[in-house]
Amino acid sequence: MNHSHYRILRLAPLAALLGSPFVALAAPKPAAPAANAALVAALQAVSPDPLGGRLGLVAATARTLDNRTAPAMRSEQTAMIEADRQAYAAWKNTRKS
Amino acid sequence: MSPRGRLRTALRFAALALALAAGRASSATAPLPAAAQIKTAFDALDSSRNGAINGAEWDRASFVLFRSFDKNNDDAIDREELKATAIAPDTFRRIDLDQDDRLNAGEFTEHRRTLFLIADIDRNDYLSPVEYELFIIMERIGWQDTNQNGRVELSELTSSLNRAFDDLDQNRDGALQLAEAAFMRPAALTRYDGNRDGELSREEFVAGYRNELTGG
Repeated sequence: MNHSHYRILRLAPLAALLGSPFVALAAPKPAAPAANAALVAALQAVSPDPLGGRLGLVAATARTLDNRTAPAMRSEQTAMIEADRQAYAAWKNTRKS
Repeated sequence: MSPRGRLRTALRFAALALALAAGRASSATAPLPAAAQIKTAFDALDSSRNGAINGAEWDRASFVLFRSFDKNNDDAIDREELKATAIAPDTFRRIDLDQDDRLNAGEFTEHRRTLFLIADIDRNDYLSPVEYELFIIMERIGWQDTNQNGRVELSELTSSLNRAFDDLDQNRDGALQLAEAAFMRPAALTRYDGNRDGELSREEFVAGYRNELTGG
């Protein structure tokens, strides 16, 4: 292990305390766009519909009905969606840095 | 069960039956990809290279997919962007929870996580190669959540596999030859072929997958 690795390891707990921008600096570099393009191509070759084709339609239909008949489920799903939206925004920011 | 509960159950069955019928009637089942393509996709998802896909790897792929469809980079897939994808419009409409005619990253990712849970048949929070292969089959064949718990039970899997067999057995000879089972991992194909006759009967096909999942 070289010195730069040590430095990152020593900084990591501090960075975690200080917040995500510092974590982003210490984190490994994001995958190259080429790797992401390869991932998309590989997935699209086997699953053209990223939302699951017929399986996805059945799942979405069940969810829709659950939400109509059980408002608590809808609230829970809304909260999860918001958390995922924020996680995506954070992921996108990491890619920019 | 309360009247409201009965109504809910009846509504679910009716809507699911309609969704299933619509899915079946829309077109013949699209051909399954080759085993090598499924392996390439599995390996691309399994970024840790440990032979299994976990939730974080799945979510990361969901983000990458979403970004690739969001051409104008406004954090939503709109109707115009939808046209360039193979996303089923009916699914799009149903998972657009806020009904703004756009899918945001949260709606997209949350639905894909539901798919992960369905695909995780043994419920160990990882997708193995056999579970991923079954997921690809069920994307085309569909699935009936008979007990409405949002997970695939072995009985439900058997039903999907039987339907898959009917679709795959194109020459209607009651067995799958190599060409008809080209989507299967070669090692599994050999292992499932109990009588070593070089083809899979319906029983071998269904039992092979079931046994591999249950360790039987």
